[in-house]
Amino acid sequence: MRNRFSKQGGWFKVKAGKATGWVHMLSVRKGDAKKGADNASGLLALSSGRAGTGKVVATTGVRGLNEEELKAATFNEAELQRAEANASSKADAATFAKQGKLVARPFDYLPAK
Amino acid sequence: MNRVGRWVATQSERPDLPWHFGVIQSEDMNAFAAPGGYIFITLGLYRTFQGEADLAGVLGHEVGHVIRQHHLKILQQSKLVDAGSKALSKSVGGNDKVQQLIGSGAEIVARGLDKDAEFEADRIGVVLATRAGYDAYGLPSVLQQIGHAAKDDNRVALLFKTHPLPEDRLNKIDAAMGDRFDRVKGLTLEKRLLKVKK
Repeated sequence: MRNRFSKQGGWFKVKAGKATGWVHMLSVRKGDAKKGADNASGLLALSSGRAGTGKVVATTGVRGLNEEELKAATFNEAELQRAEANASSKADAATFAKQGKLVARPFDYLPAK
Repeated sequence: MNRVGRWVATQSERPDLPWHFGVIQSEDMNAFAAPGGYIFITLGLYRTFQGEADLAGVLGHEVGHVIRQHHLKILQQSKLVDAGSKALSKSVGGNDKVQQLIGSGAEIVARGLDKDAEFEADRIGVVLATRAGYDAYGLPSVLQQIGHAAKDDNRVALLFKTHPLPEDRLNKIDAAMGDRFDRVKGLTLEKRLLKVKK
């Protein structure tokens, strides 16, 4: 999405020829990612409600975390201490929020559907 | 990350837990929470974020697991508790106890929580980010980004194994959000997000 569409909140700005418009992001769904598909097919997919096709080049060979690695995890005191040292206080967090003009507000939890 | 995480967690009913947030140096895309308020995001997942609101939404999801004690429920349901208590009753040394706990934690991470716990954490993540003043769609945006990864991409293998697929999660959160957020404005803070170089 990054290159072809701009995004504002929950909305994607989309262009098709000379026309521009806004599509709600939750109305946009991906198709299966295919290697090497071009942008035109991606745009076509968006218009049919199947966005994202062709956007991602699959990276094979990148090793991720796997179960064996997780089960072989060992305690690392130095890293834990680093994590502890980086903790933020509520006051520190509130100051940072204020710098970003973030204002806390009430909002009810969502019921399960 | 700690400032954003703490601000988001402060909007929950457990603002005073000793919250800790960190990054795991892995190109895998995943995020983890542990009971007590330890939350970690992989570098690979962080790279998908386009603004601070995305980070806030993901941290809100993990905060959701902690405040609803999802891990403890899994521990209680599984044999992990038995295994843990047996090991402890053998009066093992301190390091062995810690290692036992790490083993149980890693086991949970590898197995994953149940699907409903993930859907619930998604709903909480969206709400906590909104309460914190962020745009509500950070977490859904990240789910879309993850959903773009090919199913054979190693970086999402564990995530897809332990979580419902992004498509299902987007459908659920879409239904739960409905029109509740239509008039709710929030900040995405794209420029403030720290970019991490390759």
